[in-house]
Amino acid sequence: MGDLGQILLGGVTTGSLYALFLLGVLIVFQVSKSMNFAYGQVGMIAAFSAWFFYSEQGLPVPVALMIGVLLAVIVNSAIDFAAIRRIPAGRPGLDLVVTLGIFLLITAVMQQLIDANAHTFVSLGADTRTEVAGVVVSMSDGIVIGLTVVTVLAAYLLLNRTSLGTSLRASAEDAGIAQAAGVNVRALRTATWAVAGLIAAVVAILVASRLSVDAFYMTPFLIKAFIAGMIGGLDRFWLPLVVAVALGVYESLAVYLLGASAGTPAVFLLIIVVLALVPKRFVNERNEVRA
Amino acid sequence: MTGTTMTRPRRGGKNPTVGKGRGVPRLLTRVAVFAVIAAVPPLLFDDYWVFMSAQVLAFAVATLGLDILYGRTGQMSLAHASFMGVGAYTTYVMATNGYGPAMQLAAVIGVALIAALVVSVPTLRLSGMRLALVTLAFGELLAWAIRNTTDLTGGTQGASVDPFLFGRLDSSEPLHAYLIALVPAAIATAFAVHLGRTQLGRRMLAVRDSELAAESVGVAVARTKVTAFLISAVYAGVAGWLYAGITGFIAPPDFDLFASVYLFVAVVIGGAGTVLGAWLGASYVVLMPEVFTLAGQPNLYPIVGGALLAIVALVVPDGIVGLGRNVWRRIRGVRGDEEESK
Amino acid sequence: MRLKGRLVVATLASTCMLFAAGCGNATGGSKSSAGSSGSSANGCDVKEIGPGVTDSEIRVGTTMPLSGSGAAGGLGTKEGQEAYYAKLNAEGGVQGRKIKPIILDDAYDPSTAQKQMRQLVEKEEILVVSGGEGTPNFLGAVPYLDRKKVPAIAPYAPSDELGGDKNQHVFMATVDYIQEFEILTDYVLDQETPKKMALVGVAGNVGDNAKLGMEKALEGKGIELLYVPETPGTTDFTPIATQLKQFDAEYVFLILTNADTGGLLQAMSRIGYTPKTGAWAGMSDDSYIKEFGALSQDMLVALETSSLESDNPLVKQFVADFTAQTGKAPSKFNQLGWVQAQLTAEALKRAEGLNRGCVVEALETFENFETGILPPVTWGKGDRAGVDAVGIGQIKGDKLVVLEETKSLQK
Repeated sequence: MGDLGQILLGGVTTGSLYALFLLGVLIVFQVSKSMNFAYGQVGMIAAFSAWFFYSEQGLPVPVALMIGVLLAVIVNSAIDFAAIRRIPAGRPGLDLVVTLGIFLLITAVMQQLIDANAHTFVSLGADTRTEVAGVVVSMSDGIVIGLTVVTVLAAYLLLNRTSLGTSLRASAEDAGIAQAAGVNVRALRTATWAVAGLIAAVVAILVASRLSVDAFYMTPFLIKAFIAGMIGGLDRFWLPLVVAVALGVYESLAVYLLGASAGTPAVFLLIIVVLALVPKRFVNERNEVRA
Repeated sequence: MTGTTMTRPRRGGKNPTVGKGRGVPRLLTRVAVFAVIAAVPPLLFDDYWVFMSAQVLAFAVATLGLDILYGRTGQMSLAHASFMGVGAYTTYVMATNGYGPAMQLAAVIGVALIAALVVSVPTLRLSGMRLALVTLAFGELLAWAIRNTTDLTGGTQGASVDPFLFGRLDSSEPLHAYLIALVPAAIATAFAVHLGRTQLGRRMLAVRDSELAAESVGVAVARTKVTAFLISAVYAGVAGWLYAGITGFIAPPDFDLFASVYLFVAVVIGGAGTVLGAWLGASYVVLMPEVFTLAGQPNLYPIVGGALLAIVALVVPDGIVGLGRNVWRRIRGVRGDEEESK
Repeated sequence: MRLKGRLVVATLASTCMLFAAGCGNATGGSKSSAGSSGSSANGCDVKEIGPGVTDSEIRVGTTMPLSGSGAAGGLGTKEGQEAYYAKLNAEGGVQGRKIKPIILDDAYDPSTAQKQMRQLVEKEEILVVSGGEGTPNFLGAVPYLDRKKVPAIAPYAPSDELGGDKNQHVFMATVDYIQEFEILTDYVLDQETPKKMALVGVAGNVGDNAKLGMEKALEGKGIELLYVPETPGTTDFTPIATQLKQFDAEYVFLILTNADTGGLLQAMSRIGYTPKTGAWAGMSDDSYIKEFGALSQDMLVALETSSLESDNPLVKQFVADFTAQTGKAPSKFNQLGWVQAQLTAEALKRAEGLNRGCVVEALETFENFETGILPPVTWGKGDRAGVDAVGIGQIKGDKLVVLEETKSLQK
C-alpha cells in the first residue's frame, strides 16, 4: 500500500506542476487568444540563468533566482509586445509558427550563452524528507502542492471577486468595449503576460530542483500542460486544471502498473479516447479553440 | 479572404494574360514552365545540389498534401510527418521482404489510407487545436510503436532502405533519384491544381471558412473533412516513400513532432492555400539550413533560423506567395516564374 | 474530368521528355565531376591520388552534434580533434602535407548527418572520415559512406550494427553496449554474487543492447534481472524509482542521458532507496561528475577511454600536449576527439598511397596499437572491431577512481 501511496504522491506533485504551468497558459489565452509555443523556454530562461548566476558567477542563490525570475518576466512580456500583438487577426496557426521561431531562438541563444549540458539545481527541499504512513514525503512535494493550491485559489479570487478581474474578463470578451468603458486594455494585457512569465519561472525552478536543468527540459511539461488544456478547454478555469493534476496521476499509475514504456502510449491513447468519446455538446461548447 | 483569391495567385502569377478556365494554351504554358524549371537541377547543379533538389521534390509532395488539409480545408495536423513516417516505414518493411518500388508504393498508399481513416473518423467533430492534439497523439503513438518494434522497423537506431531500382534508374544516384521523384511530384502538383477547380475543392474551402455555413448550404462537412484527410495522408505517404528511397536511411527523428511542425511551417511560410506556396515552403525548409552552411556559418542556423522564422511569419503573414502577389500587383511584371521550384 | 485527364497526360509526357534529357546528360559529363565516387577503394594503387589530397594538404572530416540536445559531446570531441591536428600540423603534418579537418554540425539527427556527410564527400572532397560522435546520427550516414566506399576511422558510435565483420568501411575503436554491459556485469560478479540486479535503459536499441549484455553475463547464474525501459523526457521518475525499490535489487545499472540519470537518482534518493549503481561510459565525463557526482557516489562506470589522471606515460603526454595546445585541461570528450584524430593520422602515415584503398590497407595493419587513451587497437581483414575491452572506474567524491585499467571479454 505504501508503494501505491508513493506513486499517487508523485503523480499529484507532477500533476500540480502541470496545473500551475497550465494556469499561465490559461490566463494568457484568455486575454490574447493565442498559444505560446515558447512558454516552456521562458521558464527555462529563469532556471537556467539562475543556475548560471549562482553556480558559475558565484552570486548568492536567492539573488540568482530573483534575476532568473525577472528575466523570464521580461522575456514573456517582450514576446507579447514584439510578436503576439502584431499577429494579424484571423490567421489560425500563425501564432504557433511565430512562437516556434522564438522557441528555436531562445533555445539556441541559451545554449550559446551558457552551455549544452545538464546541471543539478539547488534542491529547494527535495532532499529533506519524512515518512508518513509508509510514504516518503519530501519538503519539495509539500512546496509544490501547497504553492499550486494557493496560486490557483488566488488567481480564481482575483479573476472573479475583484474589479481587476472584471476588467480583465471584460477586455478578454471584447477589447473595444472594455476600452470604451475606461479599462486600460494594453496595460492589463502586458500585466497578464508578465504574470504568466512569473508563473513559468516558478514552475521551471521547481521542476529543475526535482530533475535537473538544461536548455530543453521544459518541453515535456509544456506538451503535457497543453494536452490538459486542450482536453479541459482553454477557455475554462477549473476543468483544465483538474485534468492537469489527473493527467499526472494517470501517467504515474500507468508507468507503475504497466511498465515504464507504457507511459507514452497510455497518455496519448487517453487523448484520442477522451476527445473521440466526450459528448458533442462538450467539445463544441463556447468558442471553438483555435490557435 | 475568400477561396477564390486563395487559389488564384498561381494562375495570376504564372501568366496573367491568359483568361481563366480556358484550356489548352494556358495548360501548355504551365507545363512548359514546370518542365523548364524541373530541368534546371540536372543540367546546372552538381550531385550534391541535385540530391537536395530531389529532397525538395519529396518535401513538396508532403507540403502539397498538408496544404490540402490545412490551407484549403482548415484542419490543423501535427502528424503530417508521422504520415510520412507511415509511408517510409511501410516502404522499408516491404523492401526488406523483397518487394520492388511499385509494390511498395501500392502498399504505402493502402496503409496511409487505413491510418488516415483510423485517425479521422473518430475525430470528425473536432477541429482547430483539438484536432491538432489528436494528430499529435497519433504521431507520438507511432514513434512509440517504432521504438518498440526493433526487429520489424529498426527501432531507435533507424534503418537503411534499399534504393529504388526502376530499370536503369537507381535512386542512390542523386540524378536518378531526382528524376524518379519528379514524376510523383508533377502528378501531385497537377492533382492539387486541379482539385481547386472541382466540387470537392470548393466544398473544402467552404468548410475552412465556416463549418456552420458550409453545413447550412448542404455541404457534407464530415465527409469533406475525411476526404481531405485521406488525400493529405496519401500525399504524405508518397512523400515518405520518396524520402526513404532518396536518402536511403530512415529514423524516428525524421518523422517526429518537430518534423511535423516544420512541414506546417513550410505551408505557412510559403503561403497557405496555394500550390506555389507549398513548393516555396518545401524549398525553404529543405534549403534554408544549406544556405547557412554555404555561408560558412552552419552554427548560426538555429539562432538566425529561429529569428527569421518569427520575423517572416510576422512581416509576411500570407507567406512568400502573399508577398509576391503584392509585389506583382505593383509592378505588374511577369517575372516571378523563375522563383518557383528553386 | 476531361481537363484532369488531359493535364495528367501532358504532365506525364513532359516528364518523360525530361527523363530522356536527364539520362542523356547523366552519361554525358557533369556527373563525374565529383572525383569522390571513385570505385577504387578496394585495393591499394600506390600511384593514385585520392580526393581531398593536394601537394600541401589532406582534407578529412566528419559530422557531430554541435547544436541541440547532443551538442555537449560533439563540441568537446571537435575541440579534441582540432587540437591534435593543430599539433600535428605544427610538427610538419603527414607525408609532407598538413591535415585539414572539416567538422560539420549534424544536430544529432540521422538525416542531417547524412546530408552533411554528402556535403563533406561531394563538395569538400574529404579523403576519409575522421572520427565522429553519437550513434544514431552516425548510423544515418553509414549507408551513404558504404555506397561511396569512404573509410570512417574510429567514430564514437557504439552500436551492434558496426564493428566486427559487419560494415567494412567503418573502423570502430569502441565496444558496443552489449559488450560494455557484459564486461560491467562480469566485473560485479567477480566481486560478489548479488541475488537481484536491475537495469534502467533508454527504450529502444540502446537499452535492449545493454539488457542483452547483462543477460549474457548472468546466464545460468540464477540472478534475477529486472529491466525498466525509460523514454527520454520523463517528467516524473517516482514510478520507476518505486518499481526499483519494490524489486529491491542490490545493483541498479543505468544507461540514460545525463539529465535523466540525475533525475532518476534524485527520485530514488527522495524515496529512500539507495542501491549500488553502475552506468555506461557517458557517466565518466567530468561534466556529469561535476553536476551529479553527489548523487552518484560509488557508482561503477565503464571507461571507454583511460582516466585523465592515469599514470600511463602516453596519457600524461596527451594531457601535457593538449594543455600546451589549448591552454586548458582536457575533458573526456576532448580526449575522445584527440584519439580519433590520432588514429586517423596514424592510418594516413602508414598508407602507401594517399587514396582510400591504401588507407584501408593501412588500417588493416593496426595490431595492438597503443594510444594510451583507448585499449590497444587492432583491425584486420574482415575485423573492424578495434577494441574488445573497457576499463572500470568508480565515482568517489568528485573524482573518478580507476579500479581496473582494461577489462576484456576474453576471460
